[in-house]
Amino acid sequence: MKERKEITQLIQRAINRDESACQKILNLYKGRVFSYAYRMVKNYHDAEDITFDAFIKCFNALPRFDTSKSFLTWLFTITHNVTMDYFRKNKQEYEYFDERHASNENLVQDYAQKRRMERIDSALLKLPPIDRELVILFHKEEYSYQEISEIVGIPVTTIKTRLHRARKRLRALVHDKPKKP
Amino acid sequence: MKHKEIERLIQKRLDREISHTEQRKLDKHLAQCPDCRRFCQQMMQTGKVLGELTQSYPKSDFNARVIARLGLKRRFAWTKAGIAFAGSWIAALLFFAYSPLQQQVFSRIATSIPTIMRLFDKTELVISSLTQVLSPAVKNSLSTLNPVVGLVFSILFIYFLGKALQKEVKCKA
Repeated sequence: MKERKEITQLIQRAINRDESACQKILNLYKGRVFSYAYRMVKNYHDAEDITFDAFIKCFNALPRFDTSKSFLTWLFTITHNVTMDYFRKNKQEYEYFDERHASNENLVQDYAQKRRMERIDSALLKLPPIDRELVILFHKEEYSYQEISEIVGIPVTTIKTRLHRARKRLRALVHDKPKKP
Repeated sequence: MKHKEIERLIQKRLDREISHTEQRKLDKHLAQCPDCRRFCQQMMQTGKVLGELTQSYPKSDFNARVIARLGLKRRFAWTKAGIAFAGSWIAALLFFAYSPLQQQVFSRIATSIPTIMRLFDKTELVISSLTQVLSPAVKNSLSTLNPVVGLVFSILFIYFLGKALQKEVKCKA
């Protein structure tokens, strides 16, 4: 509650072109937005461009932001739209797996404990961008299905189905000799 | 219980939507079925690792680029502190030079506390020299006590300003 009040105050100051408020907003959220963008496009420069455009759009649209809603969800909605523009611009399919991204990756690797995260990160690339996005928003950003639905504009039931399928695929990619129960 | 049903329960658990009854059902089955147990462990581990993925950051000049694009003038913390210090110092000097309060009031307060008196004796020479250097125009109208009070006010002001800036830096970190 206190955090929400602080964010609302920051937003008010940012609307009034307060540079330090904008800096604080950037410092609070740029890591999360950038990580999300980076996992989506897996290219540092492109992820930085997406993060940059998302924040510029966010600050310019701040006067229209409804403060009764979650700022971060709104920011992620903007980032999602910018990422979609990126996919469109680069003629990449959002809903289907793009071979170009994973062709040089050997994704089913050894099970060394220390490399588990890298394996998951690599396995994420095997998923279609939409599924990758749902997995990141649900597991990494800990959004509810309803919030994810607001961000990506897909019905909750579709999100659930896709996420369940994505999880199973990830498990199969990460673990050696996957066995179905 | 069918494996398909178990998979559904595992997905519900990962969705944070599983009920106590369903959890008990799941636990009971997992205790008997090694295949489902392995599947469940792998699914849970995958979910856990996803939540622990590291956070990356853009380059260090990212903020400056955004601020520049927005057309906001960047002001550094030390500039603000410098302006505040100079402003408060001048304000304090002018206030005490033309203060309607009588000097006796300050003297009475200072002499009533021996520590302040001792401090005053030690710093008097330094302060009067400093006053002559810093404000030659008003040196004749100032008693040596007034700049001391001005200095104390300035220090207090800087202290609280420092606290405020520190809070900002913490937030940035």
